[in-house]
Amino acid sequence: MSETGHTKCGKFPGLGTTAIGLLMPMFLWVDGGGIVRDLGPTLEKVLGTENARGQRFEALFNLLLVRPRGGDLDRPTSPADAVVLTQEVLSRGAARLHMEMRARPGLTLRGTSVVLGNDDGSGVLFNLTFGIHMGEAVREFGLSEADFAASDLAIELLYLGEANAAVLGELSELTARLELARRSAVAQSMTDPLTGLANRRAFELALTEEIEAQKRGGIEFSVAHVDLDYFKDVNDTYGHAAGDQVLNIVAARLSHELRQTDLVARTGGDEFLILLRGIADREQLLALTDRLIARIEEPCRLGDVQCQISASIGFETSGGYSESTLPQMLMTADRALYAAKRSARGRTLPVSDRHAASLPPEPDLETPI
Amino acid sequence: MYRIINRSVQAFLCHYHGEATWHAVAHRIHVDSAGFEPLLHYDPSVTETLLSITCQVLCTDRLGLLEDVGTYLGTLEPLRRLLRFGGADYVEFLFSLDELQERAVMAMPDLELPRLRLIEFSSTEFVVEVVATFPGWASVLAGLMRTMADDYGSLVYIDTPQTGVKGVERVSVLILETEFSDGKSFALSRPDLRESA
Repeated sequence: MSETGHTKCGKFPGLGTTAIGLLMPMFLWVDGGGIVRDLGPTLEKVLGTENARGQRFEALFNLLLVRPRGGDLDRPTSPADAVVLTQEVLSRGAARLHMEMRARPGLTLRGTSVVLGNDDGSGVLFNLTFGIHMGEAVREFGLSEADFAASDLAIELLYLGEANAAVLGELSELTARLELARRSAVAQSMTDPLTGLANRRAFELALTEEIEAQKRGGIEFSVAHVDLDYFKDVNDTYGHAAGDQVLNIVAARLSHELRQTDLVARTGGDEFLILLRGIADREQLLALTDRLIARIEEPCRLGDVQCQISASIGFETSGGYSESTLPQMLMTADRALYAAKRSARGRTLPVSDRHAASLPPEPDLETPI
Repeated sequence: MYRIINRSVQAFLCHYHGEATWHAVAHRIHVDSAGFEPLLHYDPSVTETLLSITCQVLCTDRLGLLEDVGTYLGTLEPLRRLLRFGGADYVEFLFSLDELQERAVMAMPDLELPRLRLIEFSSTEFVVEVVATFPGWASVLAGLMRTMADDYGSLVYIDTPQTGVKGVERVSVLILETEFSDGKSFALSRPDLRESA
């Protein structure tokens, strides 16, 4: 160190390396001969040797990246290159440099270095930091507050890292809770709360998808519209709670009779819509709807009373419909249903009141719009 | 700052008095039992209702409850670690309270903590002034400071907070012994990360 003994403009009075170490716990002093003369306490700690002093710079460190003062960034590409670059840094200092300890490759030290004194023998002074590897270094070498200068932002950086992790933790928990709430809201908006079947919204979405699939060469399908008969009597005689119970029984029976690939929705008080995928044959549909009606007509036991209802079903097959004529498809199934209901009016035996009907689409609906 | 208090009271109730107690309180204040989100804002009136109903349920008074909540907060590992970053010993920790608000803002810009000011009467006698719109913050702080004293292993006497002029609340601390016990360990790097390293 240059010993001037008095303060001149631009010059410090002499500073010992102990004082330098307090200011810069990661300093490194390499003399003009390339020998490590002294180093800060924290750098000594991470180097893991008490014998660093007196060793050659390149025996301890490996330069990775150098920006000479007033020059361009330089990265050594060969051992010979590295020797030249090291010479350069040790004689002229560097505005910015990245280096690693040979004892601990991969943990990059970042810093800057300046030439000391006026004569060539004084060497260069490095001030180093862990840069981006701060957290790693603190963990690996068990560093504490005392290993950093008070002016160093290391502690703030670590504090911020932990605080951010805590906030992020809360944030991801919040996101998870919101996602759960969203999913349950979606499920609710697609579900009939009484029976747990799909609701009209879910049914129409599925129907639209089915129409689109058919357009792309998917399979045909049918829609059946089920309306319960004599359900009002149950409600009037036994009350709404009993009515709700019957609706649940019907929902269970329908789901049981149908395949997993079919979709049953409750779309009104005692109305159900069924999407039958892959079935568009009239005879097959009649057989199926007959079976559904028979199932619905089986007595329902509500506590100690027993009641019996029936159903009418209208259906329509998907051929000839497109997305834009979807409402017409539902209307046709609807008309078929009411035709079935009308035809049953004259009958006197309620139990045999079973009718399934299909009407051909009206002429103007035969060709898609 | 109300959301922090809401969430803290909820966590405190669940931890010391059981989920059922929290559910009972949540029900009475018409809040979903999923409770408060620390990242969302709530109306101050919700906090007031929460505190008065909790006091009724636990048969305690407002300041006593808040102090217990503060004591509890100091036991939460992430929070205690963040506070330990404040300094190497309890006195340094007390001085770090001066910039606690700024530190909090550094982590979460819209987190509204009260402004704290440390007044030093001697090397062992301090007063922390709390300037907050929420009455009772000093009690939370007193609880927190007690737990942190244990954390640092210091023996301190913390007086019941006093309310002064213009709603400024004061917590006075007397340090009896800085190295009374070993306290809890603290390293700069998080223990969970150290194990995986």
